Amino acid sequence: MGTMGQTLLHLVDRRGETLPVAIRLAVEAAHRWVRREYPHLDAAVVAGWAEDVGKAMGGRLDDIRSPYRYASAALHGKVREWFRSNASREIPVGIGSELERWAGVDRSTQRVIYRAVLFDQLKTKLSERDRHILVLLQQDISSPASVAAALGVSYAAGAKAIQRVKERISTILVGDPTEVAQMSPHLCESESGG
Amino acid sequence: MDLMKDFFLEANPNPERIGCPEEQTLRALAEDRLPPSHPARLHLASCSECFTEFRGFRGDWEQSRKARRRIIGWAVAASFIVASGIGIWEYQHPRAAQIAAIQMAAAKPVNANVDLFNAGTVRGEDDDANALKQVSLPAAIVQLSVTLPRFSESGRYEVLVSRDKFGNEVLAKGSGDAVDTAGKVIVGVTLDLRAAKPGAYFLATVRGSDNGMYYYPVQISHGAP
Repeated sequence: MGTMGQTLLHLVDRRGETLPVAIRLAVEAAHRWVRREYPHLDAAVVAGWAEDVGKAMGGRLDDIRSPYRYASAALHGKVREWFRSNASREIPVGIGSELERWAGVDRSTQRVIYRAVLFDQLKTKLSERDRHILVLLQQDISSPASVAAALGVSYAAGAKAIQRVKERISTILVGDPTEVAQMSPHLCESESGG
Repeated sequence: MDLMKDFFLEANPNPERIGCPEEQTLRALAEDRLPPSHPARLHLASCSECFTEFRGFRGDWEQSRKARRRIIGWAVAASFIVASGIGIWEYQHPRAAQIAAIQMAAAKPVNANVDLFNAGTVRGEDDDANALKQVSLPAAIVQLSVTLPRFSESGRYEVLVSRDKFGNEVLAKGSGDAVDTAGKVIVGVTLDLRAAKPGAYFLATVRGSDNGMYYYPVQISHGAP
């Protein structure tokens, strides 16, 4: 049995036998990640997914080279699938908004679609360097000096690049200022940091 | 939810894991064990799977760091409490030991000699001439042997220690028979000076039925005589 807060995972294979330690640890780690990333998702639902992933892994032990990598991808896939299916279900029957509210995701299908479109826009409108800067910021590498070191450019160029990314994101999101507000704390820690 | 985090989690699927770094590399990135310039950091911008793993490792690492900080905080607090306890104990214990040592030392009788043989015999000196230079008595039970001044007679003597020359505030008193030994008259008394605080006092001798009292300045200290 694994634990995540008060959630217990019953990690067994399809025959009810306990999974190997490596599999259990991998599933528990992936489960912890999903609980952290999507705290509003129903804990029981997530635990059920994790146990399903564990069962599936138990059936193909010989094929799995990296249990953590497998469990992480599989559980994340289930989360994404859930978001997709709940968004689509909302249109014809009008249900799922409560689930989405629990999940902390956007409450309207339009908004979900908007996100998909937005992601496409980000992919097309952001340069590779922009995406690099953004992913560095996601890794808490936010000072111009660190960004410059990661990109192999000068301090001034790093600082300028960060500023340009901020402007570009603002331009892309101009139709939805709330998104900008959500993003701003992560865009740049300090421009004077060393 | 953080939009950019979702963007990197979803927008760059790489199910074939082409060009992905090792799991250990991602863990090292998440735990800040690799420099900002490590190429795997930029790979996360184009691989949602790796970014997902990175986030998982990062979350675990941050949680363990928080837990470690909490433990360290508790350990520091506990150390402080223990150190304080030891400090208090150390402060109190030596004092108790010191007091006990003083009490033990004070309860043990100490021998002391005071020679008054030549005291007050030089013509022209005033009372201060009777000063017992460099004579001191310990604040303890003292078995005192007093060599009385020249021409003193044998017999019963009282020896006392007082605050002044008028016999006020007598701290200790004892009596004994003075005997003539090789031309010197010596009287032995036991004085309990444990209650005396260090300072200047007077030692007085009174012979039997005589009314005359002879005072000699004396110092009482906590140290040895």
